[in-house]
Amino acid sequence: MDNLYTSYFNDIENLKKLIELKKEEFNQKIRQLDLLISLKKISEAKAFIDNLKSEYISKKGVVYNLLSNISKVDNSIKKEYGSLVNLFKDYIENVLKEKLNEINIFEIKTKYYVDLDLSVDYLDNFINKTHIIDRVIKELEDVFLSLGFSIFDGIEIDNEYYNFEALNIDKYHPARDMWDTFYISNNNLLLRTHTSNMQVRIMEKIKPPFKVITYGKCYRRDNLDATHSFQFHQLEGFAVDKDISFLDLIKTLQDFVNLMFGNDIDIKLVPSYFPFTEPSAEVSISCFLCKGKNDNCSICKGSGYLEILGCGMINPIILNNLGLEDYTGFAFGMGIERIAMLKYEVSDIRYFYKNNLNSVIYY
Amino acid sequence: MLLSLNLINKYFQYNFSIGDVVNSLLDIGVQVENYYKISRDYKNIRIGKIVFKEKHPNADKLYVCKVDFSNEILQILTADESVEVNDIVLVALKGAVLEFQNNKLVIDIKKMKGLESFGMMLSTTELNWDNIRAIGDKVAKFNFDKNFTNNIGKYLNDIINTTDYIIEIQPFANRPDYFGFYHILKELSVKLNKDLPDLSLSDFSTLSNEYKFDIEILTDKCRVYTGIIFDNIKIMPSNVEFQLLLDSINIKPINNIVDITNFVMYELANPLHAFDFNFIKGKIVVRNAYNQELLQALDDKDYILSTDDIVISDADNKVLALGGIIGSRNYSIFDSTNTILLESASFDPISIRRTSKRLNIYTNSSKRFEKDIPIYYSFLAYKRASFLIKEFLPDSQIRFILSKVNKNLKNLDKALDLKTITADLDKIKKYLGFKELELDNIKEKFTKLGFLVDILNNKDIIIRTYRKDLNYWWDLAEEIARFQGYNFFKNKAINKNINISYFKPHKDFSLKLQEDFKNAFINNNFTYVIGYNLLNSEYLKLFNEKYLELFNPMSNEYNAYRNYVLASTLLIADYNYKQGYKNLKIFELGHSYLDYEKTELAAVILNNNINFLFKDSKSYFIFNFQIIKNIFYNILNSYGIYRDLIEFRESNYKFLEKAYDIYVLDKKIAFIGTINYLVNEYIKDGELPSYTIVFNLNLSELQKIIENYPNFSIENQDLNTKIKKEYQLIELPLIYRDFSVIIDDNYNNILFNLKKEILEVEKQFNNDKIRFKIIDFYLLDNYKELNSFTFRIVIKPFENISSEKINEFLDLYLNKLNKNYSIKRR
Repeated sequence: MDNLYTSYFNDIENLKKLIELKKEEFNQKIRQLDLLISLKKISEAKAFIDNLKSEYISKKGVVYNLLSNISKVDNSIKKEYGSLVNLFKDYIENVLKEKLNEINIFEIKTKYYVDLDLSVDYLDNFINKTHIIDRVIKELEDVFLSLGFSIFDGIEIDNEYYNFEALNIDKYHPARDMWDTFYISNNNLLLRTHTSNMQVRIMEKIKPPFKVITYGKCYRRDNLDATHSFQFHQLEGFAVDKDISFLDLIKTLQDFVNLMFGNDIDIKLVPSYFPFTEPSAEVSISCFLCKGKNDNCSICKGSGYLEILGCGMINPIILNNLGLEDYTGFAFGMGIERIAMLKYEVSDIRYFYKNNLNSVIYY
Repeated sequence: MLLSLNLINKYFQYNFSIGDVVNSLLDIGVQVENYYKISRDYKNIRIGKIVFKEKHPNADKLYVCKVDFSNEILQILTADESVEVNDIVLVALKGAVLEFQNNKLVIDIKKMKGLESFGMMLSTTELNWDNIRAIGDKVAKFNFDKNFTNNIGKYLNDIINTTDYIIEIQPFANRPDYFGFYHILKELSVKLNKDLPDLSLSDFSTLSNEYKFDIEILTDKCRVYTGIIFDNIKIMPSNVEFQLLLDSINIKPINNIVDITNFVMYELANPLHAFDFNFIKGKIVVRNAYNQELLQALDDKDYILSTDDIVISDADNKVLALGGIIGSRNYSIFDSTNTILLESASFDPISIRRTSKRLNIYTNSSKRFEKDIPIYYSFLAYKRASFLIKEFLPDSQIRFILSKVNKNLKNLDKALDLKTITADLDKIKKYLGFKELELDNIKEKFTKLGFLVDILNNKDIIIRTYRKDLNYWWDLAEEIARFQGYNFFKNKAINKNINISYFKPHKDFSLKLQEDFKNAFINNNFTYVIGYNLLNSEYLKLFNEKYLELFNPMSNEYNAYRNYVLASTLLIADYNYKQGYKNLKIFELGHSYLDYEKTELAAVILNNNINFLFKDSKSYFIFNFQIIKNIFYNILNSYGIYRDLIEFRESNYKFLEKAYDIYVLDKKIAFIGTINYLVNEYIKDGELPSYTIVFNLNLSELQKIIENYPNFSIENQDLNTKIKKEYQLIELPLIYRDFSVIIDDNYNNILFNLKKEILEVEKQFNNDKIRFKIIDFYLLDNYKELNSFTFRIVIKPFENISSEKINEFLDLYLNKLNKNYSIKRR
């Protein structure tokens, strides 16, 4: 060995042997490095590479040692000596570069992708849900659009004229008791007690013939309990044309009920009273759950029928006041909570406004 | 209002089943709330007459009586010393079972101190007759009939109805006459097709007024007052059967006279009142009450009256009664009364309603008068009551009768008279869709209802009636439909085609816009919630000092209408946070009122993952903000408003830690921010975390902006042709033009104005020959120090347009900018 170290200056074969030896030594260290990488010891591997760099290609390293001795080499082999050492240097540099690259890629992989778990919700874990009332309104909209009705928006804060007087309910009309009204302090406004406030407002805006629905919140001074709420939604529909008859109203409602609740559902009408319709009727539908066959039915309680809406021929007084003497019309109104409670078996109206995201009113 | 099936059958002299009656009532539109069976069993209880009484030889407190039961005389022992020979009593004999006050008593023959008792004389307690009046404290002495001797020996079960059905109805507001049982029977007689015998009434044609007496009406609130004076009245409990009937229909028996007035009110709807005539001095005066006048009422309470109230008074100015509502306890009927004044009057319903509401007195009388009972019924009522008094008390004598009509009242004649209504048969046929309707059928039914009916020209129906709810021909159409039965129309409708014109359905733009936002928020994983619009006013002050205060709230919790929709949404977020929802994204769409009623969308975002995902709250806010920003960009873009017209400016809110306002076309429409500590102070037990993000958008304002924006037109857009032409020419390349401008000073609104102007110039420049559209317009560079902007416009041509034309257009535009805003091209 001593021979080898002392004789490589003038013996090119010895130099070759020495470089082979050093290469072998280096490759062994690289195998150690590979082991570190395979064990995922990234920082140790990086340090190992740094050590190899200083051991081999730093100013004090093996390669520089060989290069610095070039002055002692015989001129005849100087050229060959230089190129051999440089090849050796290139080899080491390439291997280290390759390994470093490998470590970097490995590092990125372990850091960013190796533990990727797609089931974790990193951003949010929200499921979009909608309120049953919204769902029922959408259903009703679809049904009435398909029956050729237009849809109008409404206002909740109105005056006595549109909520009462225009609908043939004058100030001392006993029927005014039927709608116990919230009034606003310091002005003549009130919270509408029914969506019928939009009837005359819309009729002032558009010319017949028309078929219209409008819906929204209404307010009455009812104490909160399982079936009463001071706030509730109503849907109002009305049609005005020449020669509309009571039969047209019944046919329209039958079509509506069939589209909304099913083709096998029948309607039942009993006379009722509203100041703004004449004649007036209360409409029930045959129970869609038990079809009238279960005395303990959870929805109809054995009666076989469910009350769902009030309707009638628009009182001609209202049309006459609007200058529509040659026209007749019908109107109907229903409580949306009532329909939602029946259709989705919600037992308490307060659930709709409690908005517990866990409750049945959300899908 | 309660109806008794036995009474219905008694009037019809027929045996209708409960089903017949209830179904008929429902069919004609009487609201049946409920009906139930009542049954009583009085096995082995007999009516007896005491024929002998003596002290028990072996017991101080017992008496031995012999009671005549017609076919036998039995010995009955009693502890009640007040029983007398000739008293009519009820006796429970062997085998009778008495159940009362949780006791059960089986009667048998019993030996008491050596003497046998074959039964027990009863009081109302053992009979469970809590409301039935009788003479005697212990053993009750009953009034069975005016010819009660016929009943002696009879079993109680045989002379009273042991079973009955009670039907509870709720009259509609337009049918005050339904508060009169007889008026309902009239309608039933049409539906059940059974004649109803007329009521027996007194005839006053042969009367001479023996007393000097007068009635003065000094207030317009009394329309009619009739007073009738009866002599030789003997006050006593009404007969048992009558009392049991009254009790079952919820009228408390008092004495024979009061029971008759109450029964006639029940029968004919018009309330009556009876005074002890001996208290009344000189005349009846119907007047307004004096201020602070005192009424000592029959309900044992004292009331302070005001000048709004009606008082029945006399020559001494005593308060005999609060007119139409309640009598004075000092001048009513007493056991000693032998002369009565019977009052049948008609009062102003509004006044009655106001007084009973103010004093909080609701009597059977006030409940009827406030519904506006037809005046005519007051005449019917006194005739009927007089008949019944005469029948119950044959010895009584009518001494005086006077009806006074208020002469000051306008239209009183009209109210008193029969009303005439004319209807054209063809019109009714058309209105109901009932072509087969026949005149004879109508005439028959209307006659049964008590109308006077005439037919003219074989098509005009003329009816006369007192009913308040009938005024126009369409009211008669309703009567026809009701008695035809609504189910008849339903069956006819099945095969009908709808008789309404067809047209394209319209949907309000405001609803479309709401739907756009609703869908966008739902698609971004927000949950749609619906809160209360009524909230507490103290809480609403957190958002704004202004809110709508309710005049008559039900409770403090809900005493004002919200000023921002966010107010409700925050409460829902807090509620759910407390329920354990540490992460939530909710939004609400609804109305609120601040200066005007508006539709708003509010959202609350709460994300507990903040520390895990975001290194700071800033990036958390920006991330969530970006979601809402994108929703805005997408929706407004679909209405032709591009993102450069939407701005975000830092702002300040009392309840927000960090806040930004969102401006569209320079108008503020929304705010977004994170809440501060104040929110939890205003919410009751509020627990919302500080990273709660809130958002509130005024959709009404946004709607106005979109509708007024030049690119947008709801009504005049003919989408079909527009799309067709654009697609045909899609091959033509887009044209880009960049230009730089120098602006004097004011940067505000500049983007908006530049864009607005170019759209207007585009409109002006476009004609049949040259057509193009500005499809984009945006800022390329902005050198503030040089006051200069560089813009790019993107033009979509629909024709081949020369570059001269484009330049011409640009020149026109720049000239306009120069002129209007002193903006120069660089």
